Amino acid sequence: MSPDGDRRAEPIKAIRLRHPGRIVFAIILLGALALFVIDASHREAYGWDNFAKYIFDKRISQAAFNTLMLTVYSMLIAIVLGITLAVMRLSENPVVKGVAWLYLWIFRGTPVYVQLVFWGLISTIYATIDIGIPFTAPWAVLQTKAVIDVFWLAVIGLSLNEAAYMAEIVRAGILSVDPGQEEASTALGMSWLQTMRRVIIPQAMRIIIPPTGNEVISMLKTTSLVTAIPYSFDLYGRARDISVVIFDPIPLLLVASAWYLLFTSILMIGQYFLEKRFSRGVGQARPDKKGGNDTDSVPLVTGAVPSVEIDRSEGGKG
Amino acid sequence: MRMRYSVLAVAAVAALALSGCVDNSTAPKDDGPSVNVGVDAAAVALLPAKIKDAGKLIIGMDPSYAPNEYKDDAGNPIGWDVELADAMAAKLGLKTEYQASSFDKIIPSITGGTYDIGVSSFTDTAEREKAVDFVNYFTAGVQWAQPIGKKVDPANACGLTVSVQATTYEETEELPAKSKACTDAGKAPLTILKFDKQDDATTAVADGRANAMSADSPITQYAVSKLKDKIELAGDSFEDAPYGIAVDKGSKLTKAIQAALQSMVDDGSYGKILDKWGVSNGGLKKITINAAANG
Repeated sequence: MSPDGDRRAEPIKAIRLRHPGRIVFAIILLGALALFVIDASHREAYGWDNFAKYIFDKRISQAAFNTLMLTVYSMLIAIVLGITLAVMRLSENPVVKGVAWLYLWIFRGTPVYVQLVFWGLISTIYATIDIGIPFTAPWAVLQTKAVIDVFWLAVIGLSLNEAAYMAEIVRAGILSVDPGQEEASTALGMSWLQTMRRVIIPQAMRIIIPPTGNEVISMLKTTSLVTAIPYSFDLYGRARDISVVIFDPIPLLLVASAWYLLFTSILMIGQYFLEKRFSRGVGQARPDKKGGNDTDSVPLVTGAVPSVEIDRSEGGKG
Repeated sequence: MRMRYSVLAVAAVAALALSGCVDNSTAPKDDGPSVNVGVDAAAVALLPAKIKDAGKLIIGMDPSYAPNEYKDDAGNPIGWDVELADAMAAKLGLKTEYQASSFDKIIPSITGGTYDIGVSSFTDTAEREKAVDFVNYFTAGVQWAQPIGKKVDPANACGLTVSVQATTYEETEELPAKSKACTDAGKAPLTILKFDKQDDATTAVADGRANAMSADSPITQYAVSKLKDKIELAGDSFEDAPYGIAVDKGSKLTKAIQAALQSMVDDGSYGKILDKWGVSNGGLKKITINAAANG
């Protein structure tokens, strides 16, 4: 029965299904939110005048920049080290595998805060760094204190801890790629490095990116723990320093939180774009979604047949 | 497409905000030590060769203890402890390098060799003297603060909640002793609220989480002067005990520091610094070593 048949059907008067419960719930929630906001704006304890005074303070924005730098450096080192460790764990060599396992065990088995306290005491444990052949006279003796700045201690502490978690994320990504891919690459004569670089890793990225984005966002907040070293020029540390002198901690905590929220929002948008890029060419095209290209008709790379036939033909089946 | 504009908008806000348009820094204090002291040759002669060659004194300090040692707007340490240390180093012909640390890490770092001395309002106790030597330079008492209008008696505080900074003399010795005395007398023990930093302990009593706060007398007096409308002193200071500069046990530096400080007492620069900060009633006439052991 085609729509252009002889019998003209009356247009159906379609009324959307009403959800009165939703409306009531929404009103209650919005009411509670409004109540909270109005009360908070009048509450003295929040110290909104101090909040407004310090939110764009030079020291705070400088500290925010330091926090960003800590995050960026730590994550870069952690990702590189994490990939190395993941590959080590997947290796055939038992020694290499064991070393990687030991690293993961130690750095995941102790709290970040405790690790950072250790790094703060590193120059007490290792007063000098001697470069040379073991058990002979060293070629160079460096004073640990002079060589490693507190900022870099923070970066080292954070990145070594994060690398352990990144290693597991990367390993999950690599394991998620169908083993047939590796077999096919080997059959084609690709070396291990070529297989990894051109076949496995690009496919593994789809699984690696979302948790990695998560870790970057999480690292931004974990940098507040560097007060353990102590490195006090990050956002939380500087906000504390200001609140110590004015004896008003709450507005400064709100200032630090606002900045963390701002950076997290930017990172979340960045993650969205990154995920979009690595999901190209995957997934089924739907008539109601725009922008499919030819590869969309091949849903899964393993070659499994899609269960839904996409009907692109006009008119009815005859 | 809309996402792209939101990225631009958020990035613009971030860039603007990062430029840091507001300058809340207070007027800078005068640079350099407040008193000009010359080099004391007798004290310099007592210095160990290693420190003399290095030309500087590495000082461990927890700068969260106003007015003794705290941070200015740029994060540099200030306070009367800092000024005394600067002047003492000038007497020895050395520069000072302050290393901020948490309070409980300073003594281990001194015995481990990372710091030369520790200047952080250490109370000289027999327990601490097992690890380091102290050069006594000040007498501070313990003093409590209470919320305005409440009547707290430090001698009869059974059952009260008292806030204190962790690892200070008050937290390790004074309050546990009081609590034990209470339980021995059959009364409720003290609830001790420990905080990592002194200002948290002060805000705890200011906003009512604690019934009282226990700290060294200069700290309590300074906190009360800053939060006049919230807290007040709860009685006079008691249990006067000496402050000491911590030096590694058996080090020759101890005598040199004692000589430098004594020469500051003798020529009046010591008194001038204490007067400037209003803490002169704790000043000493004679600089001693290890007062806790020697009585």
